[in-house]
Amino acid sequence: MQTIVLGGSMSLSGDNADLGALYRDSYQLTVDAVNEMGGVEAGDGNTYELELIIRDDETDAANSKSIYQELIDQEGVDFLLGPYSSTVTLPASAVAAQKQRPMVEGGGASPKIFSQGNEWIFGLLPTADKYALSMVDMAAAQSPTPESAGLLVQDDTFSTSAAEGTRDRLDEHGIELVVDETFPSETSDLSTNLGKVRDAEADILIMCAHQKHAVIMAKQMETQQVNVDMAGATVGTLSDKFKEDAGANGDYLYGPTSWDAGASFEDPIFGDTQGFSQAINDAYDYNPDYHNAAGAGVIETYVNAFQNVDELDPTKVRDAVRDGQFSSQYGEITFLDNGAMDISMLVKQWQPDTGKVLVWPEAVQQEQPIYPMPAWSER
Amino acid sequence: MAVAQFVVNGLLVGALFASIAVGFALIWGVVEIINLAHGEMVMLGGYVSYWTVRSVAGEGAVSPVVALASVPVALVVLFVVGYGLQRFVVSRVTGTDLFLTLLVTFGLSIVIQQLALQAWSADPRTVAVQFTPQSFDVGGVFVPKTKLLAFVGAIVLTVLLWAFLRYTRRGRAIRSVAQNPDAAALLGIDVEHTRALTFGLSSAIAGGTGAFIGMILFVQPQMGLIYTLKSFVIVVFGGIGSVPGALLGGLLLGSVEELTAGLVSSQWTLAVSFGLLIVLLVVRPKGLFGRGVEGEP
Repeated sequence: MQTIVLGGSMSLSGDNADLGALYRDSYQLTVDAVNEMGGVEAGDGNTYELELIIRDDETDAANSKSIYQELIDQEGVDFLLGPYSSTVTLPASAVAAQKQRPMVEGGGASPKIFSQGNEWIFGLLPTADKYALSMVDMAAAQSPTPESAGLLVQDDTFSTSAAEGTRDRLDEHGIELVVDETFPSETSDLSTNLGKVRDAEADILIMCAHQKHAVIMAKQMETQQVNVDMAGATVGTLSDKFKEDAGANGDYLYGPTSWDAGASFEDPIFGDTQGFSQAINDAYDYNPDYHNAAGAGVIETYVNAFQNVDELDPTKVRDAVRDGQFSSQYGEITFLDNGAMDISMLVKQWQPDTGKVLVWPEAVQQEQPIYPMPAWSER
Repeated sequence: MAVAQFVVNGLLVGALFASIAVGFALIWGVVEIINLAHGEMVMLGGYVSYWTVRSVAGEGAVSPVVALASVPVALVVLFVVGYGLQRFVVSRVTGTDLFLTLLVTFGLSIVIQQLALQAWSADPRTVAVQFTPQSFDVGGVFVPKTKLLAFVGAIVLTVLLWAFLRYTRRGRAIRSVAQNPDAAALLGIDVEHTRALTFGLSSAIAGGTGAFIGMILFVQPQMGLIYTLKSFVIVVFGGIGSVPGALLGGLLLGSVEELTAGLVSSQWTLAVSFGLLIVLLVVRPKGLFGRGVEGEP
């Protein structure tokens, strides 16, 4: 059987190694599942086995860029899998454009990735500016209605984009931004910034950052006695690892997700969403989150494209990705003209008795949000 | 009140910076090496503490006594690591070209970092210390108890080192090697052993402080560089030969950083710290208390 090679870099060490591992697991699981089913019956009439090449970029954009150049120039890889995080994906997508190879990614969400006129990049995540919108909408619909907000922003590509969207949505709801602080990615102490949120008596707290800082926020909110009605972070608060690290301090915190394991979207490889969730559990012994689902969706996007081209040419595959529309465990996959997907975020909350539950939008909620969060002295 | 909170936050972390910098200054003064792997000793100490606590108490928050019990373990392990590094690696380039010593210690820092990555992954790890409540309020200023514990611990480590150098025979030997290794050798002092002892002591203090950092922040393989950089700034603030200078320098740096974060923005903390460094080098190159970066008396 002939082979199609899918290759890319991933954060397997460095700051984002926890989340990078989720993508690696999903890539591998999906490739293995496709091969066990007999491979890909491509539109050119041949059946192909998939081969996966994933190299560790150490959460470093320069490393990632070199890896993609090497994969294309020296190893002849034509079909690229995206890395994790916007900061790494943006330069990697430039390599894809320069070398004219399609890149499908599930880990980069900054609108900058999709505003460069790059015809070779496709992303499965909602753009970063949408990440916190549902959390703000949810808070605005609660009682007491929040009047002020604190915004803490990590100074990376994704988080600054997420903050831009958040500021606009807060403004639309008439919620005053009383603290708006950007902090360096390398900081591991947010005490002073959290103290500002406490002193400003903000009603809600939104952090645009990744998992490491979400854990710091959860821990230092208690030591700084930050009592807000709602607190959430754009990335990381919903993973099992977050809860393990944050412990009881992770209770009541919110986070957005583009995917829910309880959904029932049909899937050509795993049967449906729950089948995918079970497969991740069986293979890796943890509950998948939307990073896993997007990672699997990346491979499935390629499989769908391969099935719809009469030749495995990078340009034809790119066009097939752009024109594709199919149901997967991740949901309906179809791309906008700029390569992004148009998805709204769901909101989940860690609740002490029930664990992580879907609380927003109301039409699909599993539980009412526990709002306001109890003060630290009452826990 | 906000300013008081920023200063308290700064002093609490500044003591940790100081105890790390004291060791950095000691190696600089005695072994005449700018040890770019000093931050990695902090990281290793943090991991020793983390794994000690995990092996004794398992996952989850532990009592302050259990957390504190891991500090001596970190001190001992890092003393051995530091002594060995000086005796078998760094001694080969001691007294040679400054560039070569920088290259060797930089190489060491990369090797240690990569080994840590392979051994323990990049996951941030922390020793959760159980206090109820986690902080207390002094007239509107919140003081986290774990940070206060780490502050006191770091001060104790620094004072113990100062007392050792000042009042013990071995401490006097270290100071004599710092002042004139040839004369020290003529008096029968084993210079190589004394230098290795100094490296071991400095690493031990860094490792013990790393244990405290693991309790209040995170331990990660890549965390070392920032502590090496801060140590450099503090040593220039306080002067190479001065433990009180390093202590004051650390407290000053912590306060300046937190005041900058509080009154301006967190993004400006490093720029302001290094800006002050440049100003101090121009205005008072000897530092606040020491014998200066050029080694002048």
